[in-house]
Amino acid sequence: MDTREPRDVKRMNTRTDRRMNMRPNMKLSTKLSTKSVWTSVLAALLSLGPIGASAALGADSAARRLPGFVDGSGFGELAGDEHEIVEVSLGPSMLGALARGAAKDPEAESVLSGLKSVTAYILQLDGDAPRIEQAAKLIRETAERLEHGDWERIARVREAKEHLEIFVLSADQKVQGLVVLILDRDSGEVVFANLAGTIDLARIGEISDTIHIPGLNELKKKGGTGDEGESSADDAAPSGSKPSVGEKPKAGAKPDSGERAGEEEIS
Amino acid sequence: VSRLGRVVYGVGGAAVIALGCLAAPGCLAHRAPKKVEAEIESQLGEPLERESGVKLGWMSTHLVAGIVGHVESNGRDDLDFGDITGISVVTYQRPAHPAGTRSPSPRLDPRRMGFGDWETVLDIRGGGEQTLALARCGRSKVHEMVLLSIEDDEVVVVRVRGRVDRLLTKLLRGAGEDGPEGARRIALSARP
Repeated sequence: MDTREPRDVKRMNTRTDRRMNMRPNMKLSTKLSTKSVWTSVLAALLSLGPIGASAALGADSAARRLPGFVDGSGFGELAGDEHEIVEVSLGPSMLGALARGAAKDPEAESVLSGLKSVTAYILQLDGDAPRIEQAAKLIRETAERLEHGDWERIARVREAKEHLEIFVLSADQKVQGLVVLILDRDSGEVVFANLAGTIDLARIGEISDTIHIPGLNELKKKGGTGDEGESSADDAAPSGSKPSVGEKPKAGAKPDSGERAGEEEIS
Repeated sequence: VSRLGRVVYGVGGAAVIALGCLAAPGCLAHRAPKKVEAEIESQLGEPLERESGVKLGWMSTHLVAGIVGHVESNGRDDLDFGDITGISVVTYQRPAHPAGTRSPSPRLDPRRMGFGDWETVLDIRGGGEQTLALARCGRSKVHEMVLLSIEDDEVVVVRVRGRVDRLLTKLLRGAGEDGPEGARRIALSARP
């Protein structure tokens, strides 16, 4: 008997599905949509700044000095010659130009103009179990370091095959950094994303048409500006408020009983 | 002259003008900056043989785009030539490798190529290939982009000028939605 959910995006593993804006093998997306996953990844990239030593692709020195910047270059080193990897790096000037280019969309322009750095590593480690384990370890270590720093976890989904973490760095009632970490063992997809600057979580999803980042859409929902969805991240902290760690997820945030053995935490 | 006749005359005239432009001195003899060429050769550790080079200005870009039907974007993956004021494409052939072997996976470092104030916004690697997207901002817009694609048998350098922020947005969206495959697909759409 097939116990999987009917909308399980994991099944949508064909190129056609990908073109339909479905990330392959993303069971998480039943709760956190594909876009939200990407958003999360980008956020994670930003948060690696104080952790890693090597420079991200295009992150300039100004971006590196941002409190919300996290160097995720360790994720870039995970990919071997046979694996596919996308490294994204947008600095203040590029984001400013994109913001001006998005002038037709005042919401997106406003959000983009607050961002100072966007970095992301998206890897496909299909079937390479040792590297997937390395990625899992790196995600655990990164999450621990962030947690022991000033970062606060606002969402976590841990299941047998999937792992997602979203962290934010807040100060003065403002979110200054966002990190998204994603591992899907089935597809071998690993995502690290980091946004730094002034981040309005309530409106971060508005930039998903300009910068497609996993998880952005879910954060948009979370801020109450998007359509209602089943994502558990809908319960995450609103913009400007300091998210609390360890709060119990609201009803509906838990996985369906018997289908997922892991844990989910949404602050 | 019938409507069909006008269309035929129009397309024919545009084709003649475009071909004339392409045949003009300098248009087909275009090549990437020496430093870029040399640095790619150095980092790949192999000599490159220039196969072709095309440089189009605003008018010739739109003429050629009109002829091939890309004046307006045909889909979300296509480069919208309406945004472009100039484009140049240089193709280099890589040395043949012994049968049954592949070139080593490239990993070019764009910071060593003399791009100065250019920002490397995308680096896509995998399957023995690498695609780099570098962009440069003006006072208000992203106005220039270089796409470097290192494939198994060739190296392609595309330089695009104009409203490049839309192309960059498409690249980022492609990477976000489809990972390396999506970003590479959009990057290669910039090749006329």
